[in-house]
Amino acid sequence: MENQNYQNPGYQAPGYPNYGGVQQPQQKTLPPSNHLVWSILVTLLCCWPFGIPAIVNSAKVDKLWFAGYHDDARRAAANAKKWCIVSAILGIIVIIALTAYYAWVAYEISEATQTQMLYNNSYYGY
Amino acid sequence: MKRFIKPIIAVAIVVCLVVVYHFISPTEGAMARFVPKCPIKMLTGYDCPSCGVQRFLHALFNGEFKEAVLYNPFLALALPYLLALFYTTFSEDRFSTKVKPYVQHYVVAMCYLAMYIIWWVVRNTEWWLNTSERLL
Repeated sequence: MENQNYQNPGYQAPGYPNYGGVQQPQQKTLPPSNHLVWSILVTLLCCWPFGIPAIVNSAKVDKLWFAGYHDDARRAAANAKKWCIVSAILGIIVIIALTAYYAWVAYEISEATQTQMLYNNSYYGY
Repeated sequence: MKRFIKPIIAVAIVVCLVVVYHFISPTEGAMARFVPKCPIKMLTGYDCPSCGVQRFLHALFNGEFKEAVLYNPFLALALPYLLALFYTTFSEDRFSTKVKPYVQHYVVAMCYLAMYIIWWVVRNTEWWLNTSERLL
């Protein structure tokens, strides 16, 4: 009988989208990597203003993926990765440059005045 | 062999961190000039939320827990969370896959971010500066 085809979960009427019944194979795949570890690490140690959008985007990835918005989830993951890289590169470059400059200035001053303890009153570490 | 490379690198980094910050103090001594400096602190004079990481680690690896927490109490919360994130991201055993949806949940991450920003404001108030100075 033709009617039995509608009872079969594998059956799909031609020309109609696949609502319910058969699971899309796409929904069983894992979500993309949300770079939450790197977002939080970068926010703590590097340039934190650029780490905040990274955390916001990372946090959204899993939520969007399991709600079915796969494209948005992928976009959020890519954004999180982008902000992590920006923050890491900027933080590392600026911090290394500043540290080198500070060490050089301190060396010059200590050479000039023969004092060792310049740092007790002016601590700029983090 | 290949699956041991990443754990070995991670352990090596942690051991280096412990050794370096056990012996090098970021505030005093001849080596203090070589520890990383923060440009935002230098330009604005305000503390960032993670200001005090190096003093925290130095105190922690010397067993001075009270000083460590007073340098940055937020890190006492953030470092365990960071460890949990590392565990759930890079481990693939059954427990980590079970707790991963909770550790990396949207609400948890947003609460962390909110606490981060609140802590940034609180630590620059006169009250916190006075309190930490008095207790140290």
